[in-house]
Amino acid sequence: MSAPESILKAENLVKKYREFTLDHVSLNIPKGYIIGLIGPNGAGKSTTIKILMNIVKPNSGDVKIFGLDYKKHEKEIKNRIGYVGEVQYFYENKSVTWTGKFVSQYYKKWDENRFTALLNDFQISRTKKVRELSKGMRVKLAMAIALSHDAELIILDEPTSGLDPVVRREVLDILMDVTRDENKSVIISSHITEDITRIADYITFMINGKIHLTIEKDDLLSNWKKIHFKKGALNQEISQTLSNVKEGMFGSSGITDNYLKIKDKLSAAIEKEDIKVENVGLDDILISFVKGE
Amino acid sequence: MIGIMKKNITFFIQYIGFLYPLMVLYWFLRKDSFDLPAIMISGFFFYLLISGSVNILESYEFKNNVYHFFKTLPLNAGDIVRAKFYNVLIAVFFLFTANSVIYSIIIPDKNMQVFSYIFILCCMLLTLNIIAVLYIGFFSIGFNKMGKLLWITLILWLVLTILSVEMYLIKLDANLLYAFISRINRMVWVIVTFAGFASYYGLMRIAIRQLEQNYDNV
Repeated sequence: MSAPESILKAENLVKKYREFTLDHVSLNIPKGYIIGLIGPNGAGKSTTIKILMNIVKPNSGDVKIFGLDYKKHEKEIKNRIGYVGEVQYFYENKSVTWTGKFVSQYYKKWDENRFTALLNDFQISRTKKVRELSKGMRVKLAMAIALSHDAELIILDEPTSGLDPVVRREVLDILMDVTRDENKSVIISSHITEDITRIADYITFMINGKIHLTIEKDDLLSNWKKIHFKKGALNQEISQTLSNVKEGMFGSSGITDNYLKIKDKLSAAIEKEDIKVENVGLDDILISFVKGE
Repeated sequence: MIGIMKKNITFFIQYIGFLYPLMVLYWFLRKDSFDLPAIMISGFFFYLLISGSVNILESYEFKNNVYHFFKTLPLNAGDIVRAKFYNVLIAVFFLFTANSVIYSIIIPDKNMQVFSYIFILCCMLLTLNIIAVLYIGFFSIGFNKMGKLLWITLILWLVLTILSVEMYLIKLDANLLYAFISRINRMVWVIVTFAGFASYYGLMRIAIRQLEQNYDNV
């Protein structure tokens, strides 16, 4: 079977700031997939996304979206992208209707009916001025714009950051609904691991300006496990296959990134009742990466 | 590009449309004494109206990160800068035309009329080029620093206006000045006009490059 068509390809992106460097970041987003970009604050997620949107220019590296580059095809690329930024900027003293009309002039495939339907679904009053909208409403307005022009790639930079749990869930549900269309790809950055777990197909971990790991979510869930051992049960051989090993009063624990491979070794070496295996949350993995840096 | 232009033109109409009629009313009220100082002062108001509207418009757009908003839309730096420059050009051309019409009505003396047209033409070209340089500054060192320079240009223009009025008051022979200007070959003014617009266009290209290179800081 041939590999899925790549919709976005970023190679060796470098961006140097005084106190931070995005260090040779490469990304490849296949058509129809949701990629979650996860990392602690200051990991370089937003910088990467801004480079992908051509809001920030990299010092070096190359970005190709739909096989096109920004130098010659900025308008064509952005016509096919829906973007929701970390902070939503609009004309503050203009109404929601005015904002919709303003942006509609720039999108070739703008669907006014879809925009109206989304505003109704999101319960955003069209007559309200943008400055009167709450943070959650602004995110929803940005989402409505991003989803009203038949975008093939949706780029979301911390869209749920600062939202209350109810609105956060609503935003994620909308996103999951959209991505049922297999032609749409999504890249979403977040430091809220729960959001990424909920929707992503692939997960990319970023730490200190570098990509640490890109993995399919199902692979991650089946291979990454936290294993608890009763006191004295953990031997040297198994210990070497684990990371983040901790010794406690009642036993020890560690994380494996290859559970399927060591499963047999574990059952041969250790009594079943001496170990407990549990799924690892993305938080645990992220923390183990951060500590290992 | 058209969307930004429409939005900004509305702003220019509101701002200039509010102040300009007051100015015109004042000119008609002192119609009988509309002399060289009055023409000089009208030149200052010309620059004040354009630079004032650009200042208010850009302070709003920079403060509210409107350029960041533009960058998320299918627009490139060229579209954004061209929209801004064409807006200024339209506003300046409107003021130039309106002033010329008013001068033709309220200035009876032929020599003085020619002088007033040439004076407002120079004001138009100078305004366009100063605003273009200011835009290059906005996109390279930011609005906060460059906004101060805008005020300095306004003060300088005011000082020059006051000085020229003072010179007139110390008995500069205005008729000689009018006669001198009206004798200069018309071709010279055509060349000056062409050079002024060409320079404005060249500065627009530089402004586009500046915005492309410094988007992170705008």
